[in-house]
This record gives sequence, C-alpha cells and structure tokens, in this order.
Amino acid sequence: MSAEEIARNTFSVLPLLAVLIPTVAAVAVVAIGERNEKLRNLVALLAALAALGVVLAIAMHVMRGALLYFDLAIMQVGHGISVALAVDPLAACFSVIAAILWVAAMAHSSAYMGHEHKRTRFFAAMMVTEAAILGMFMVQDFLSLFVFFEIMGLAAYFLVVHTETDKAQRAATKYLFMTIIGGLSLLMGIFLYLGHAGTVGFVPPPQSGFLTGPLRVAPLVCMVAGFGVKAGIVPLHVWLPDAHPVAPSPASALLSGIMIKAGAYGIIRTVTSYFHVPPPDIQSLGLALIGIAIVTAFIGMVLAVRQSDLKTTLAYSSISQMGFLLLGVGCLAFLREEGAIGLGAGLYHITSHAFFKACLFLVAGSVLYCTHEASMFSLGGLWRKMPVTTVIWCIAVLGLMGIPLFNGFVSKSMLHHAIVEAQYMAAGGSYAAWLQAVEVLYTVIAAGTILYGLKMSYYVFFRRPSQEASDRLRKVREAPNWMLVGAGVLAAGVLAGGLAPAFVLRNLIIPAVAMFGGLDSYGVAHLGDLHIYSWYHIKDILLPLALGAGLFIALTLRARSKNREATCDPFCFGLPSWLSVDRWYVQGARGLVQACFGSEAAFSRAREAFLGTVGTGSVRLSRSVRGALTPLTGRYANDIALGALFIAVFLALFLILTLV
Amino acid sequence: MNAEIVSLRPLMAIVLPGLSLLAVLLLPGSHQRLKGAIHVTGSLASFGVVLSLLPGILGGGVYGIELIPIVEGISIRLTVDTLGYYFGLVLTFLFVLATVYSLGYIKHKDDRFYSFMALCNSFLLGCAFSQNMFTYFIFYELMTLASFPLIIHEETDAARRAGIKYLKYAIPAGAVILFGVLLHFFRGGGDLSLVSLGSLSLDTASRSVLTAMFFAYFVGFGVKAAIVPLEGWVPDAHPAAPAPASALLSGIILKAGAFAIIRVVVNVFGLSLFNELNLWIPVAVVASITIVVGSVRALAQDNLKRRLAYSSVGQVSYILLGIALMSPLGLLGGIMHLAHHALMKGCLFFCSGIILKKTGKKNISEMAGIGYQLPVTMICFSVCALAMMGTPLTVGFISKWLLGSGAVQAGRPALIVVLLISALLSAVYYLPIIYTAFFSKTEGDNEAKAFQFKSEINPAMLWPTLVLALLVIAVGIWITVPGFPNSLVSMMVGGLFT
Repeated sequence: MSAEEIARNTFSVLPLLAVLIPTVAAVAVVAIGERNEKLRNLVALLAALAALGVVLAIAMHVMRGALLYFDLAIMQVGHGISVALAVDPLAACFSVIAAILWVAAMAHSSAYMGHEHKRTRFFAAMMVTEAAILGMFMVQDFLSLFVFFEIMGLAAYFLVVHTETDKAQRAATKYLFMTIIGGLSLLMGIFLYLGHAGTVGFVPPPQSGFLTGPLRVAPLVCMVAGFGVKAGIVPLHVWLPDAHPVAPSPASALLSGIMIKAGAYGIIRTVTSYFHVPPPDIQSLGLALIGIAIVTAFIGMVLAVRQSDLKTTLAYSSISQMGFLLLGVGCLAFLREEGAIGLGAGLYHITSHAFFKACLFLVAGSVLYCTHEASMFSLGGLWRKMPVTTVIWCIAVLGLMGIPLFNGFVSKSMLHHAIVEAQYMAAGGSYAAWLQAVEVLYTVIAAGTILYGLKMSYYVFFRRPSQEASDRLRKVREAPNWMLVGAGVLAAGVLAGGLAPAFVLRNLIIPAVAMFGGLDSYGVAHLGDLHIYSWYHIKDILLPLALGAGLFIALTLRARSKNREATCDPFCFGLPSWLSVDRWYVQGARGLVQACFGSEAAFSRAREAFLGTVGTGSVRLSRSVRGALTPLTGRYANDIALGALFIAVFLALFLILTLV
Repeated sequence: MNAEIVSLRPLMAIVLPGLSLLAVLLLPGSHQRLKGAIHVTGSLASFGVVLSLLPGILGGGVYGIELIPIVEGISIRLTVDTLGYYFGLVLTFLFVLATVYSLGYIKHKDDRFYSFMALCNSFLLGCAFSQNMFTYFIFYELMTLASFPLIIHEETDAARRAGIKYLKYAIPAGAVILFGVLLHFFRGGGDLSLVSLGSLSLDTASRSVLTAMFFAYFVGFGVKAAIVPLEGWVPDAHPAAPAPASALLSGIILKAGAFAIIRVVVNVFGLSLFNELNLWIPVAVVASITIVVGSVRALAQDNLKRRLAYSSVGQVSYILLGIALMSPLGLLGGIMHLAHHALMKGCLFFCSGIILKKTGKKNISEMAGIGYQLPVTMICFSVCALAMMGTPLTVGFISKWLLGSGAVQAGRPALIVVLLISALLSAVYYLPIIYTAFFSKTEGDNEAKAFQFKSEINPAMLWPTLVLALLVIAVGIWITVPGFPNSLVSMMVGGLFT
C-alpha cells in the first residue's frame, strides 16, 4: 500500500454498524419470539433496511476513493494479524447487492413464513447470516474473511435445515460437511499463503521462497477449492442442488442470490491478491479457471434442463450461472493487465444474477405458497390467477435468458466480449483452439439457458392446465402483498440493470475494477463506454435464441402430439448413475467412516494382543518372583511385575545407549 | 529475569484447599450445607491467592520459597514463574468450578470425594509451582495416588477395574520418571532446577545419556499425557469417574503430564539442545499419531464420556505438537491449548454429567431430542463441540490458527494436515451429537417440541457449565485480555526467543 493510499484510509464506525445492526436485530428477534410475531417480523425488516442504509452510506464514501476501516481489535493471533473490518470498492459493491437482497427477502418472508414452523429461529438465522455476510465482504485480510465466512456457513445451516423434513435434514447434513471440508481446505490455503507472502492481507508483498516449483500454486488451489465449495463449482457443487430447493424460498433466494457469491468473492480476492505479483504461470492458471468455469456452466445447464421441480431447476441454473461468473475471473487471470473486461463482466454478472435469481426464487416461493405444488408439471395457467406475480417472473426470467433490455443481456454481452479478447490475445498461440471451443460452448450454454427458461415459464404460467390441475388450482389467488413487494423490488433491479448499464458500470463496477493496481487503466476506463446495445452485441444473442426457442418448440410439440395433457416431462433424459459425482462422494465418505471403524477394531485387537503378551510375560515373571515375595505382594503381583518390566526395559535401553 | 521474590503466597495457595479436610474431620455428618460452603471457600481461596499474584507475574516477577532442604542440591522448593503460574491459574479455576459442580452432583460418600479433590488440588498446584524436578516428582506421585479415589468413587465394578487399570499405568510410569530423575541428577550435572532455560548441555552428559533421559521423561509423563500407545487407562477412567472428576482428569490431570513435558523441553533441555538432539522428531511423530488415532477411535464410541475421553487423547497431543514445532507461534499455540482444552473439555464433561443426572442416559444413540429437555446444557455443549472443531470466535480456532501458523513458521506445513484431519474427524464425531440432541426424531414427536427451560437441573451444576461455555467464547474473541492464556503464554514464549 503506497503512502497516498494509506492517507486515503478513513476510520469509520459505519462498517461496524453494518455488522452490528443485524446482530442486534437477531438478539431482538429471539427476545421477542413468538409473543408478537408482527413486531418480530417488522424488527427484522427494519434491521435489513437500516443495514441497507448504512451500506449505501458506506458505498457513497468508498466509491469516491476512500477506504473505510474499523479495527475490531479482537483475535490477535499473530503480529499485526487480527480481525478488522475494512471496505474498499469491491467490498462495497458486494455489500450493496447483499443488503438490497436482504430487504427483499425479509419483506417476502414476513408473508411466506406464515405457513412454516419455528419462525423465530428462521428470522434470527437470517439476521445472523446477514451480519456474517456483510462482515465477510467488508474485510481486507483472509483471517477476517475466514472468520466471517465460517460463521455465515454455520448460520446458513439453520436456513437449509429449516423445514426438518428428512429430505431437508439429509441436504443440510451434506451441506454442513461440505462446508466444513471446504473451510479446512481454505484454512490450509490461508496458512500456505501466510507462509508464502508473510501476511494474510489481500495485498501481499513480494513472495518469499517458502514454496517453490509447482507447489507455488498450492495456496491458490486450496483457497479456490475452499471457496469453490460455496460457489458451487463442479465437481464441488453436489450440496447445492439439494440444499437450495429445500430451504424456505426467501432463504433459497439468498442462498442462490448472494451466498454463493460469497464463494465467488473469495475467489476474486484470491486471484487478485495473486495478481499483485503475478506468478509467471498465471496465464495457464487463468486458462484452467476458464476450463473449470465453462464445464461448470455446461453441466449446470444440462442438469437444469432435465429437472421437473421448479426450485431444483433454479438451483442447477445457479451452478451454471456461477460458471459464467468464474469465466470472467478466468479471463481476468488470462488477460493479465488487459483483464479489466473479464473482472468487469464477472462483477456485472454477479449483480445481474443476484437480482434475477433471487427474484425467481421468491416468485417460485410465492407459487409454492399459493398452490402447494413444487413440480412445474402439476401447474399451469397461473398467469390468469396471479397476474402481477407472472409479470415479475417474466422480467426476471428474461434477465436469466439474456434478452436485451434486461440485466442478463448486459453481463452476458460483456462476458462474450471478454472471451473474444482472450481469443485475440491467444491468437496463433497454442491456446487458440481451446478458446474457440469455449466460445462455441458458451453459445450452446446460452441456448440451453433460454430453453429451460422457456420451459419453466410455459409449464408454470402459460400453458393451459390439465382438467385435474385446473380443479386443484381453482382456489389459487394472487400472492400476498408482502411477497409482491419483495419480488417487485428485485424485478425493478433487473430492469434497472438492463436499461441503465452505464449507470451501474460507472457507480458500482468500475470503481471496484479500478482499485486493482495491476490493470491497464485504459481498459478500465473503456469499460464505461461499452456500447452494449449495439448490433455487434445484439447479434450474438440471436443464434442462442433461435436454437433455444426452436428446441423448446420442437420438444413441446412432440410431447403434446403424444400426450395432450403433458403431465410428464418431455425434457427429462436419463443419465448413467456413475456420472453422478454425488454418488462417488457419498460412497467415499461411507468408505472412510467404515475404514475408521475398521481401524478402530483392528487397533483394539492389536492392543489387546500386545497387552496380552506383556501381561502373560509379567505373570510368568511374577510367578517366579512371588515365591520369594509372597507376604509383600499379594494380589498386586502382576502390577508390580509390570512395573518391573518397564524399568527393566529402560535400564536395558540405557545400557545399550551408553555402551554404543 | 528479575530476582526471585520470597513469598508465602505460593505455599498458602497450596495449603488452602486443605480447609476441606479440616471441615471433613471436625464437622459431624449432618452439616452438609456448611461443609459444602467450606469446600467451595477452600478452592475459591486458593484461586484467589493465585489470582493475587497476577499483577506481579505480568510485571515480570518470580515468587518462590524454600520448604525443606533434603540433601545438597535437592530440596522441596516452590517457584512461581510465568509458565507455572499459568498452569496454576488454570487448574485452581477449574477446581473451583468442579467443586461447585460437585455440590449438585455428588450424593454419596461426599466427604471422601471432597477430601481427595482438595488433595488433588493441592498436589497439582505443587506440581505447577515446583522449582525443581524432585519437587515435581513428589507432588506428581502424590497427585496420582490422590486421584485414584476420585476415579473409583462410584464403586461399581467398572469403576474399580478402571481404577486398577489407572494404577497399572500410573505406577510403572512413576518408576520410569524416577529413573529419569535419577539419571538427571547423577549423570546430568546435578542441577534439577526448572527455572533456567536449559540446565543440561552436551558438556555435562553424552548424547545417549541425554536421549535416554528425555525418553524416560517423555514416556513416564506421556502416560498421563495419554500418548499412544500409553493412553489405555484414559477411555476407561473417564466414563467410570463422576462427571466433575472426569472434567478434572481431562482438563487438568492429563495436562499435568503435558505440562511436565513442556518443562522438560523448555527448562531442562532448552530448545537449542532439544533441536540439536533431534528430539522434536519423535515427539512430532508420536503427537501426530496420537492426534489421528485418538480422533479415529473417538468416532467409534457410542458412550458419550468415552467419546469425549478419546477426544481428549487426541487434543492433549496438540500441546506436544506445538512443542515439537519449536517456533514461537507453535509453542504459543500448543501451550495456550492447555488452557483452551481445559475450558472446552471441562464444559463438555460437565454437560455429560448433567445429561446423566437428569435423564440417566450415557449413550449418544439414546439422546434423541435431549436438546429440548436440557436446552441450556445442550447449547453449552454445542458451543464447546464447535470449539473443539476449531470454529472461529471460540478458543478452538485460536489454537488451530496458532498451531497452523506455527507449523508454517517452522517451515513444516505438512504438519498442518494433521490438524486439519483432526478438525474434520472431530466434526464427524461431535456434530452427530448436536444433531441427535436437536434435530433427530423421537417417539411421541407429535406434541410440539418446546424448550423446557424450567425443568433444567439445579443451579450448582448449571452455572459452572455456563461459565465455561461463556469463557470458551470470550477467551476466543478477546484473547489478549491480561490474565487470559495469551497474556501469560506470550510472555513466557517471548522470553524463550530473545
């Protein structure tokens, strides 16, 4: 950090307030409890609003170039290492998104939770999670980040397990263990980083010779894997499609909307910290990240298409979209100082995805609340009964599909731009063919996204329901107002992101990108004058749109010709079970626990055998001694003999050692 | 280092728990409440005297007094330096809580129990304040004998067997230590003191003598510190003993072994000699094996206290691992873990005692829904279980972080893997307990599950548990508060590396 940068740092209690308000609210929520549910819900909502206010105030300061910090002065676990809050533009960018989402989710919960149990626990867990996630964003070192990250992971367990059905408990257990393993991997990475850089700060000084050769990337790999569990990167994603759908919908919205971005945030921090003094192989690392990202996006998309449960589809979609985001980070590493577009695209996509995915989950929650149906094939024709909800859904799903005028289009255009730039850089090199493949896959994934977007909208809202379904859905009414408010806020965000990309870029994205010293300043400035709505970008969406829509129409028509009621899924296709990473994990974990039990048994046996031998030996010894010592020894002969044996062994050892 | 200040206070701290003995001898059996009050007062007074030394110790002072000279070079002598003070503070504090807890727990032959608990308190404090190895050995052996009645207190067959097994391990171990002390005195230059930073050197004895001496100490004290394969008495003694005694066994008595090994490495051998003889290698290997084996075996136990006992086996070796790292942060983490583990495991055993008293359940598989019956207890249990896993905002995280960065500092990052495996395994064996208590289905589940705060057991048992659980969090957050482990241990470790 240069002297002028330090001069810009300002001590401020605002970061502390942002963490403290939800924490205090959580205590208040527990204190009020079931006695006055309205007041409790209001306290939670007001706390979320207050946190948003504080975060916006922080953002106003930070985006002007000040770094706000508040040293908590707790957990000083080393020289100059302690937990401290500090906000830079990137942190502010994430915090603003999180705070907005929380307001929407709390508004939605106050209606949605009406038909759930243990509401106090839910509201308290929501507030603790908000405190932890805001804390996690507002840091400048990996120790503080880790502390808040772990608290967030544990608090979110209560959100996942909330319904306490068997399915929820299984999902939550899987979530918890993957969180713990991810946390340990992260901790290992942080220790190695500490050894390597001599600090846990995000801006490391030149590296030492602590790790050499290929081991140099070990901290990076451990940390990316640790954060990757939260971010749902394939093959670490297996908890996500179980956990996100079983949580109550407002919690799912937050899990998918912002919690997985906490993983992405960590990855961005890791990569940019490395970026400061780039290792020579950063380009191949970037390429590896791009590879993982595109595979994640592709697998997520394929699995999303074949689901029939609305929320599960959205969960797989989240995995797929996280792949896109990581693609941006990969492009950042690959393009090195030209990487502004990669980071910018990634950050914009974080914003876009947060809004449209949270909104989709909230709407899915409203549908579930009003109809008690989770499968999209048991639904239909809801647009007549829930018109406002339908409009909100359409806005969000158009964002997901990347249609112009909605925020997904902007971020996907920027991502495409980043891939093209990466191709320019790699032109003629050995990576060129790979990046061509990435672009092709990218188009395929965009088409797939459109396919499952259309599928969800059609089956839930627009298709004519079967006779049986329309009987069942007769009493369905528009969702309660609080739900519409919650989802509506986010839909407005989706529109804003699509209609005013320049505003979002200038105020949120560019300051966050510009703070990284290693980037070419021209590239950063250029981000502001990207012409998103030009033919150059719009033509890119036409091919996926044609592909996706064409495939959708073909499949739907085929299904209708076979079965007019279409109650089964025309999109579902079988996959061999060995493809399921989840199964490998479960079997691996079972095997490991069994091995533990087995080794425990073996250990006990070995121990018995050993002690048996020693025991017999000492018994024999004692028998010979007993004759002489009978009056003294009595029943403790064996024990005395064992002692004698110990001493004899040590005398022998001593003699051997002195003679040698 | 400042000159030793002659003071009676160390002796007072050792003698004061003896109030219990007076009460037992002088008062007839009917004065239960008065006797209880005297037991608590005795331990509290001892803690108070130790606490009164804190400002002086933090100011760099050393207190001492010579009691009985035996022969030239050997005497019974007390000295309170930073390390000894640290151990003394931890143990007197836990003894106060255990005494209060016993008021609610011990219902039969309580005179015997309190007398021997007071004796254990005195003897352990004697260990902590020993000026030389001879004094340490005397107090250590007395403590071994005084803790036997605590283990067999229930007088069941299992308890008697566990007690005999304890002696079978502890008495030969004493013989081995005596061998070490003799070697130390006759072949190591005749200086048994524990106040310098390494009284031995290669000038006074050959490599092989020094190595044999170290192994005699390591193996002898290792029986108490529960290193594999000498840990066999631990998993039997803990479930057999009453809960307050188990808490003291795991919290303090196991640590008396580990503390002795710290003394041997730091004050007898000194870090440079320890390093030169490559003795850190066997210590690191044994500690790593113990950590992993303890955790793996804990996994297979269904009896709650047995599981906790195996967990202790693994955790005490964190201390040894910290010593073997020989880096400032590693030593800091290892020695601080002594107090951290005492807090966590003390609380966990207290909780297991409350569960046993209130519901009669010993096995984890029977504990479904117990979190609703005993909410405060199980929340305390959960806090400490999470701490054992190394969750941030608890003492467990501080230990894990310091040991991990200590391993990095020592240039041996591979040893971090041991810590992480142990953390993962402790998640695997602690989380199911919490899960069973709060989430698993019970018969008659139809009635609404509600927390039953009113029916929770008497305050004498609940308060010590709550205090420990709160300290597990407080010490894990505000770690540098004077009097908390960090302030004392960092002073002591700082003295080693200047």
